[in-house]
Amino acid sequence: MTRSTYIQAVFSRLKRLTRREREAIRRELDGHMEDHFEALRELGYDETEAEERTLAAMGDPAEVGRALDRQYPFRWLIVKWAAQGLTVLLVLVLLSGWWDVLGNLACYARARLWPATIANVEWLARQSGRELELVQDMDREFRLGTATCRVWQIGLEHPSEQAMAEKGGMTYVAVSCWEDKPWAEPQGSVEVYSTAGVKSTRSMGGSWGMAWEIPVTFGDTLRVCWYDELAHQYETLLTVELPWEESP
Amino acid sequence: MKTKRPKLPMPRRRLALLWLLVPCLLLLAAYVTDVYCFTPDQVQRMEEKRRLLEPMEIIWQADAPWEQEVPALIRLTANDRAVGFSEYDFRWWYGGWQGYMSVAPRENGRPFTAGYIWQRRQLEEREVPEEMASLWEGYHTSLTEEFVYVYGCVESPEVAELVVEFEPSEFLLAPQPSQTVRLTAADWIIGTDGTAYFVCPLGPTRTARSIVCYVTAYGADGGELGTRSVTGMGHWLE
Repeated sequence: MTRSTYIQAVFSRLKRLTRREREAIRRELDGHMEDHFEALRELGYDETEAEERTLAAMGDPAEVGRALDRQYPFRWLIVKWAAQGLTVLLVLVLLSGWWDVLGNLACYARARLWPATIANVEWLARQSGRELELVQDMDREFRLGTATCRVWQIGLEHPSEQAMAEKGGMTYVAVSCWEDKPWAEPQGSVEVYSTAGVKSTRSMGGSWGMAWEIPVTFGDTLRVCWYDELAHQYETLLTVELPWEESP
Repeated sequence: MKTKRPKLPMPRRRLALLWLLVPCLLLLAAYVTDVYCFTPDQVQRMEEKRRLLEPMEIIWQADAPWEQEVPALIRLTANDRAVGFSEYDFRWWYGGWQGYMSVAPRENGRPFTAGYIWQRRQLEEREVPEEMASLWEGYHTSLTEEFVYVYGCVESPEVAELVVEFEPSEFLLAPQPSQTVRLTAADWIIGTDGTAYFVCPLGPTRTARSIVCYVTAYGADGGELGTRSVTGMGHWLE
């Protein structure tokens, strides 16, 4: 008997091994026999005798095979395959949802840290073909259900009373929103009005952040409102003072 | 000198248990992130949150009669701002439980609050009478069965009876009669705060292209307390 026929004899007793397990067992047996063989060679045995003694020391291959077979119960292989199948199925079923979650996480980071990448007053003014004389960052937060919204930027076309009286003008406001859960999209939407009740004439953005263009007169403030669908009316969530220039 | 041998693979039992952990973790993550709704309560909570109405109390629920293929239920919920009527169904391949809630704002100054919801079930070809078979070709998407529910709550203790009048019309198939349902205290569903709620199933009616529904409240003396048209743009008849 050679090492290779010994291993084949062991394998003949092993049922339903995966390729990886078969290879690992082959290497284990081979390595074990090689160690024994080298030890005998160091003790002065010639090659043939060392090989014979090594194989004898390994024991009956059928018994070794039976013992190894007990170490690899088939039922656990079935359980593993079932779990792998279930994992693949779940990944496929949940894939579109995960995709949304990843998108929401990215939008959450943008809304909190880089709101200008969602909507900002300068973009909106440019869309209207207007120049802003004053752009100011601010930090006014309010709650909308389980979402936090932040008025983070204000822009005025003409901050002075004289220019407003002569040319009129627009004000711009940008708000970013995020849910308490970073993977969820903010629900509910807000609208912005001037204190005179004038509605925005232009807006941009989406649920994570918006910018509005509102016609104003000098001295106006802005009201950030939420539409209450049950009461069929707007509820003011925040009043924003505008940075008008003081008259000399 | 000993030869360096690669490690034996992990025992099958441990490997299988580790693999079993993976779908469990995926399901847990899906639940936490609301990517998959495992229960109607989960989708109910999401719907309430979307409408900024949470939390609502579950008043009543039943199986949805129009859905035979997948598990589906209808549910009446309420809080001090609104009464909601939801339909949820379970499709394992499509996010689990999903559905929609119709909402009637509470009208504290009125005798009752009422809203309505209708669901359609597409008729099958065998359900269409033979003499109408020609309709199947051109109109089969309009050949539906409508399940209507009028729901709400009693706002005034003076209300002793609610009368729901249901008038379907413009039938593609054979005309079907109007219905009048009388709801009395025996039909009320009492919430934990003592508020009396009602659910009034109407129909099913087939292929009606127009549905009109009125709810009228009567006092103990038989006097009329108010009538509301609940279909379309709901309004009180003054």
